[in-house]
Amino acid sequence: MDKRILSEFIDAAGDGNVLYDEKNLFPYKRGSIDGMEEMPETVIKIFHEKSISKVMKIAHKYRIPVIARGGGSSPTGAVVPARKGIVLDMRPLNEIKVNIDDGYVEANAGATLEEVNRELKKYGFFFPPDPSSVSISTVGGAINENSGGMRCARYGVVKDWVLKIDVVLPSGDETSFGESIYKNRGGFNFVDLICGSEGTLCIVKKAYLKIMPFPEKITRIAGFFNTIEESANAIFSIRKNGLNPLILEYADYYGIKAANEIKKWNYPEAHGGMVLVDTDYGENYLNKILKVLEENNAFKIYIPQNEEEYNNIFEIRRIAFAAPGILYSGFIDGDIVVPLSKLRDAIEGINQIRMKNNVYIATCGHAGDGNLHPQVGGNPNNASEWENAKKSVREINDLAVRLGGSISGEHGIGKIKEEEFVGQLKYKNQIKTLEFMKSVKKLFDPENILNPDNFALGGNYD
Amino acid sequence: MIDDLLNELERESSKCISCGFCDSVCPTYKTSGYDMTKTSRGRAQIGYSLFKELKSGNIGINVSDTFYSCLECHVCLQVCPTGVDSGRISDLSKTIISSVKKYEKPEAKAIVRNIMKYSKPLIFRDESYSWYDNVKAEKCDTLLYTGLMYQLMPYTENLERLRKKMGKRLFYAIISLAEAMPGITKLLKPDPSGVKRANKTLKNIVYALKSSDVSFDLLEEEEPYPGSLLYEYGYIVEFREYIKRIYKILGKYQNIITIDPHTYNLLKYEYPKYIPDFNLNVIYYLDMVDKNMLYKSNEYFAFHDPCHFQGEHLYNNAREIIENMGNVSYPERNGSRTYCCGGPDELLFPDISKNISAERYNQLKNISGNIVTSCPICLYSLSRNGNIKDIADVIQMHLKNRK
Repeated sequence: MDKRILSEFIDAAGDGNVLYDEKNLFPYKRGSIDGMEEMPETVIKIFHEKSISKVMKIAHKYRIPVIARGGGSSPTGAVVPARKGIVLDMRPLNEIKVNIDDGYVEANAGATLEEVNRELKKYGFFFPPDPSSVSISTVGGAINENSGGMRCARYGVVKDWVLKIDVVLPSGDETSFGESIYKNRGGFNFVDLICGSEGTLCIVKKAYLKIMPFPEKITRIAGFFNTIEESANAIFSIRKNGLNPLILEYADYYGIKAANEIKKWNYPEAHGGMVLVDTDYGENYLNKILKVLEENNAFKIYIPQNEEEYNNIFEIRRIAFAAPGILYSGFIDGDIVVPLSKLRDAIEGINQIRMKNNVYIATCGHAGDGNLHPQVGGNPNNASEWENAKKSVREINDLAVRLGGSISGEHGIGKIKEEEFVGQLKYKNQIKTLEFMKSVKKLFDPENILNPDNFALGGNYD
Repeated sequence: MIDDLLNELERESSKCISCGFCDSVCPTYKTSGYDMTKTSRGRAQIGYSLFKELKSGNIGINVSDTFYSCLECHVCLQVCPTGVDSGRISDLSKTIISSVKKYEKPEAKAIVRNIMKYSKPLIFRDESYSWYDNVKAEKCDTLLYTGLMYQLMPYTENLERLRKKMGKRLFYAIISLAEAMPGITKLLKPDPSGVKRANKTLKNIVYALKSSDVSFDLLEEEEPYPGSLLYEYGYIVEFREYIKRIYKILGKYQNIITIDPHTYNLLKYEYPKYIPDFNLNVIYYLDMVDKNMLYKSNEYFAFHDPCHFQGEHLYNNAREIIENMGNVSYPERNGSRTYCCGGPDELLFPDISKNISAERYNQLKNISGNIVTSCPICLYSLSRNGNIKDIADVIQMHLKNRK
């Protein structure tokens, strides 16, 4: 980058916060899982809210591409600076203020959801959406990706909990959307528009998030099944019977096996997988869930009796998400979502793709809201193996769309699912969505400097 | 050896999927000002890149700070969904880097030279040997081996003061001088209050053992350093050569009683890897303290688990002992997910070390002002923020015969 421009950025963000040597840029070249990488020209660390506007004014003046990055855990290439330019490291901007009286928490974009919840815990409250990357996922990142998580079947996704956001526009101008009140009809719902916009419209500086009192007591139960049919029926029955669990999760045989391998555990490597349920409705509901698991032939049921077992059971599900990483040098993240009634068809369909293509797929997911993560393993340096992995992912995504679902429930489109996203819109006769998206993008960012090319906004997909 | 190191580095680092879960528990991330090159994900990613560069025949940029700043608490391994241990990646990378002369850290080189020449990281003054005055050593097959860790801490404390006083440039000029003339470290005085405190704790350890009817011999002034820093800085060739010398001294005994987690782990788990005929019974002194001679008071303690007890090798007897003496609470980060005291970074990254120790001290202080630990490095590192007790000092106060 031109030295003159660099010195302008240094004036704006402070000496030491503008990084441009290779060693410091290196960790910013990729997000999580996807394997896609590109080195930025410059990284600017944001410690103060005011720096964002100053930096954006300079970037806008010189038409330099900018990507805001939080925890860098996006698995879709959304944080990869494909056109080089600047990465804004928002993580240092992480102040949190709790306002119990008005029922919200005010958090800077760089605060992680775990940090937010740690603060809220002091008051007996919590912020419900909980992506499995909760320990690293930031407020800004979770809003831009409209993240989900385990508790979303009960509480909804991030957008359902955002009251107001303070943002910096690509021009460097500052504004706010929404209000820190529980109801508001003041204008179009721009908060929901920004939620899930994948960093293409504006930079979130601060958010005002709705909070809830923490459940009094959570009880955990896990059932292991011999067949996929049995586990899928158990999931369906729990929902159908209105048991409204706090979380309703699934990990298949491969996920359980991976957890056993890493942690040296001996949990049953069940061919029908594990169904994990948390409830906060007390003993009566726990017994009802237990009954459903038994009725659907769970051959082993755990009701953790101590903290270690309570955490271990949960850890199985968490590790299942990254299962291919243990065996393969690369893997492709799946994030399909289907109607609840089609969950069994989806799991069985994935199984058929696994057998047909002779490919490694470990499936886990938020069964309670129909969101599955079929994670496909392969070695990117082995052309045929990698192509087979990619083909399998395409087939899984097609399956989801055909079942009335979507190729992404919570991870987004980023830079690696664009073609399939456009394919989905065409299949559902919704291509108008993409046209409107492009118009909105132009309205916010006429110079196309914010995360350009992301979210199918850059290419030609006709 | 280099091929084995490279293979292991590839195996360990290529598993990283860059999810960043480890960043949430890595103490050096936030405390380095969110420096992505000084966090466990950065170490795994840069470690893999280092492997690729070495395979292709050259190391490009100097990445030594990435690995030398690792505290090796191994908590990253506890949260990694693919089982990556960035502590191990740092170990391997430091060993590789120590062979690339231009990327060595001058402080590390000076310390290595001292250890190889004097069997100590620094030359001790007389006051560091006064703790065993009036202690009756007995010629027997059991040695009380301090590993010099308690004695060393008051010197590092003064070294840090010196660094601040001189400013970076002059300090590094002296370090370079020390590298060429290791004897110069004789001029470094220990912090007097630190020496007094170390001597008191060492005497209390001796008293606890004697009260438990344990007999032991002492090496007194001849006691050598176990070589922990050679190992931790990745000087494995020197470490291998050095511990052969040490083993000749220790090998005259059957049982070695160690008094700090670093020396205990090094002797118990690392020495046998490098000494084929290793045949010593390595004991931690708390295992020999008779729990029946302790009484439980109404005191409330906040206990800090040292990483070396909870990381790679689990050791829980310190917890059992402290729980025998009062009401113990643990901070949110405890056990296998403990939060390091910052001590291991004190010599090379004093600012990071200071920030970590302040962070951990506050976590503990929020539970109880009566903070206890069982590691000399934790003790000194956390003491920079307020009063901390060594478990040996608490034992001394909870002996039934004192009541």
